[in-house]
Amino acid sequence: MSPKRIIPCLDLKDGRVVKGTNFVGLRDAGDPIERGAFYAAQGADELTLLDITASSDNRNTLLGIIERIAARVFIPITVGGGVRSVDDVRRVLRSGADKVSLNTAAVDRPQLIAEAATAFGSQCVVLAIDARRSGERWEVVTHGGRTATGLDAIAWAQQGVALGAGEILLTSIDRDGTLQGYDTALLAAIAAVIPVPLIASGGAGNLAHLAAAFTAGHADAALAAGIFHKGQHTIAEAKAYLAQQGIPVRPIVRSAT
Amino acid sequence: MKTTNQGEPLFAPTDDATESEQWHATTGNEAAATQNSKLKTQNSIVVVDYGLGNLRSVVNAFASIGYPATLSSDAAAVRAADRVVLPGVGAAGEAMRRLRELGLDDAVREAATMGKPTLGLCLGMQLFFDYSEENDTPCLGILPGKVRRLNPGINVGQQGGPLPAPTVGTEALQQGEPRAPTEIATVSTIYNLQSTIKIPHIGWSQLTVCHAHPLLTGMDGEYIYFVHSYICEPMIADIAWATADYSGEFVAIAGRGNVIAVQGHPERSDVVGLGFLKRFAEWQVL
Repeated sequence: MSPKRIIPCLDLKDGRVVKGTNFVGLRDAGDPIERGAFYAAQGADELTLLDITASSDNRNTLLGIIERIAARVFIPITVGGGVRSVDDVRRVLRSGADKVSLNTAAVDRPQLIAEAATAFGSQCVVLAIDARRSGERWEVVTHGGRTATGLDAIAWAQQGVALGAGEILLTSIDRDGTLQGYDTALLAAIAAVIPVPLIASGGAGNLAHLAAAFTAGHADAALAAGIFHKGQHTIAEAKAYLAQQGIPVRPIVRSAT
Repeated sequence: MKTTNQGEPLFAPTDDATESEQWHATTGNEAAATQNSKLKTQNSIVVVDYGLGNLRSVVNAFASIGYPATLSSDAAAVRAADRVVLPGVGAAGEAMRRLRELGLDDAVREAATMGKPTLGLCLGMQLFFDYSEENDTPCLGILPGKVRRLNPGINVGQQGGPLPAPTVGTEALQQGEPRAPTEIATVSTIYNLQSTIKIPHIGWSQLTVCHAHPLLTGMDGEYIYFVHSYICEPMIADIAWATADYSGEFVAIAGRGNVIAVQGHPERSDVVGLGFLKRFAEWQVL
């Protein structure tokens, strides 16, 4: 089995990490570059930056951050938030991101997925789906859950892959921020129907939740924010725990360069 | 950095194919760069820019280890370089079209033929081979073999098991020497990829080094990051220098003489990848 990935997510607002907690050894927990390097040194398999800046005035701030982080952190970097056009995708990639995550803009105009995949390859197009349970199904929502779309999450995931998405980043809005664990039923339902890797998101509150994303949820990667940001667990601890559970992970190597 | 200039339009489009820049990482490692500056004057590294993929991370990675590299789409600059890197992600057809348009296909081939250290990364590795199934694309023909889709339906092998022992000596494989049909082994027949794999293969996979080589020192058993939907099928087993496992073995690193190609992304593979790039930057081809 291929190693499962652990992906810390940094929420950025106006160029700063939201909810920065001061760790030992970090001068500035709000600095995304320091935080990124910190997680990479702990053995993070990838890094995701999610720009939640409300206005588009600070887009160049984001590009500057991507440039600086890509010059210092040598693991794959995914950037999401406010990416609305193929030109946006190009600018983010040219700044040093490896992948771009599309969310609302793809719901508004699904063809954006195809355009980005054609221009830059499916491998750098991540479709981010925010889903909320609605009776016996899951509905796609946008704007952090404020806007219902009427789309069925399973059907949207399948359509996204058909259009060229190379990965699905699936967030349970019901669980997001609750620390109650991923919605493994949602994950398993999507994992069963898509041929591309699935990244679990929303709700991780302890290490057992990470394991459940891979076992019950059949995810290929787990994205988490709170449990790492608050210093509750290090990524190294998470990997040691997963390995103990028989889940394959990349061991942490910080040896010679 | 021009992308952070206040006056620039938001997300202004750039002409990827012609944009050419020298870009130095600004964080750290100045000491290493100074230390290496004497060597660098005879050690120029050009990263071939044909407008596809995250080329900056390759330049960033070299800069971080004290070997500034130049990103260029100019064939003359590639010809003038001491070391040539062909990176890239994206589709083979579009990549070859752009390389041809810019005259970069011949420039890269020349580097390989002239004995310069020549490195292909990811799609760059695939383009080194004769042919890619992706978009039915004739490629550079620097390494013998073809590229085919990582396809559950096709990848199911008959025999399984490890790579065979080399059947042909490297001395028989020098440039220009014809290969007798009896010496050609289709490496793919020995792979046994299971049928339920996700494509693209995205993630870290462990390397099994099967060819002792100074560039691969310490890499056996280490992990590097992969993102790919196609795999290389060397026509000759002994150009396969390392394999990785993704529900079955595939060729992760191939090479011959002054040419080396990696299916993964050393520039995104943390200390393991940076160590490899450093050895490439310092590689003295015998």
